[in-house]
Amino acid sequence: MRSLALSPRDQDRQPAADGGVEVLFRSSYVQMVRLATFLVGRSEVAEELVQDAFVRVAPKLSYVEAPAAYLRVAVVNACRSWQRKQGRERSALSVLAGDRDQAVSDRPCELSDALARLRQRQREAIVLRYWEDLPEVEIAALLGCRPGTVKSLLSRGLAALREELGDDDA
Amino acid sequence: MPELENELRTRLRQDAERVRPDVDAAWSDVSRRLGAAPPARSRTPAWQRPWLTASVAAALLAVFAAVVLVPGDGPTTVAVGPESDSADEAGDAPDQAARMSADSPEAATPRPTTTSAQQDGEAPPERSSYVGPFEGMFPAVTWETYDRLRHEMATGSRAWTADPEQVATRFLQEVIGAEPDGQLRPIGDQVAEYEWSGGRLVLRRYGPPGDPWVVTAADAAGVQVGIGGYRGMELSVAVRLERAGTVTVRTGAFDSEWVAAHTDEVPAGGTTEARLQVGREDAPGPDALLVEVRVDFADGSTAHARYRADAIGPPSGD
Repeated sequence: MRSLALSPRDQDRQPAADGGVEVLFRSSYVQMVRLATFLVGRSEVAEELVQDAFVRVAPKLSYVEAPAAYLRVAVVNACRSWQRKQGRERSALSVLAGDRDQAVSDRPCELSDALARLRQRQREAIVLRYWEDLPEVEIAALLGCRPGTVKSLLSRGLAALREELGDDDA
Repeated sequence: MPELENELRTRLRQDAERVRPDVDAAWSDVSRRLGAAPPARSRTPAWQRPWLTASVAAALLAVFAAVVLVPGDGPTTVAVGPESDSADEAGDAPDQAARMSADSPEAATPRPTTTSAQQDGEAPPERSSYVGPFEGMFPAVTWETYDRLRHEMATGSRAWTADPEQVATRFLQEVIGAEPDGQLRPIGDQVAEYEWSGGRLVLRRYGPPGDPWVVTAADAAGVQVGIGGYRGMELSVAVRLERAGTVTVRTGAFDSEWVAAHTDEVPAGGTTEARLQVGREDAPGPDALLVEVRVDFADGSTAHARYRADAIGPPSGD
């Protein structure tokens, strides 16, 4: 596994605010917003989280080996922090209750509702595996757990989704 | 369970399609917060240096590191350089009248056009037509040369453990055949850039001092390409030009057909973003996907870059 960590010296370097940052932003923003939307359930929140994450990591992007992967880690962590602030159970409920009152043209609905009812780590594993198409070993590194744990999260998450959506529906 | 997994993938893609954030507005906000970057599609060149900056190097490193460090089954090409005389470029001349002059940056810029398929009947090149990792830019560099070099670098069997400037010099002389008339710029302990009159190299050392330096990126022509990766049904590609030009991005399968194309006129220092719909029920997998970026500069010169999608995206993790 290639490390995404920065050396202390790298972290101290000044940001390179130039077109490269814009290129990375433009090539990854939509994908990151979609990922975050699946994780937090609300696209407007997702956009804020992704932008915040990008602003935080932009100064370091010049010096990390895989900027896109580094950005993804930052986005997932931001989503996790947001969920933590909301409270896990309350978060899921607010997603369901709040968004149903909103226009849904710009957000996932049915499946996202089911995803929102999953446990946070199950949801993360499901989205990273089946939306981001990441291998289990990479999901494990991103979530800070063992690959076996990812397998378990995926298995239980799928079972919960199947029950949630119904066999005929899923 | 596999049926559920497949259904889940499909539904996630479908739901994701409904999330369409305004990238221009978002970048405008973010660039203001970053304090230095220009607003989207700025007419003001933001480049302070003629070649790609370190952040671009970082964006490309993921691709090139995979090329250099991970032995692959086949060629992975990332090349930006002078016009190729290959047959597949024929009949692809841009509309000269529609070009934007570099010295008239306020001229009206047509909106980019993205089509579901290229209509000119021109097919993607054959997989076997790729002759080297820097094809187009440094045609003399064959895969045979590159593989030998990669092995030598990896094993440290030659003087690749020397200081990075010597490595860059040697790479230019022995691999590219260029005069090393540039200057090294260290970036931390493990990354360095070397700019010379023909372009730029990025060197990286993956271990402690004493480990070999590896050339992980090379570029020319003032074109930078960022690829967001193949996810779901969409491939996102951003291209930034140092000089004004017309950017054409196409994607398709090797030995098959282009499935999506994007054309935009970009001012000096400007960026265009292509979001190409590549997913279909019968779509080729990412390992078969080819991305081609072609730039027709306003001054008449051209550049092109080709990517294999399996070299795009995050590290594989192993």
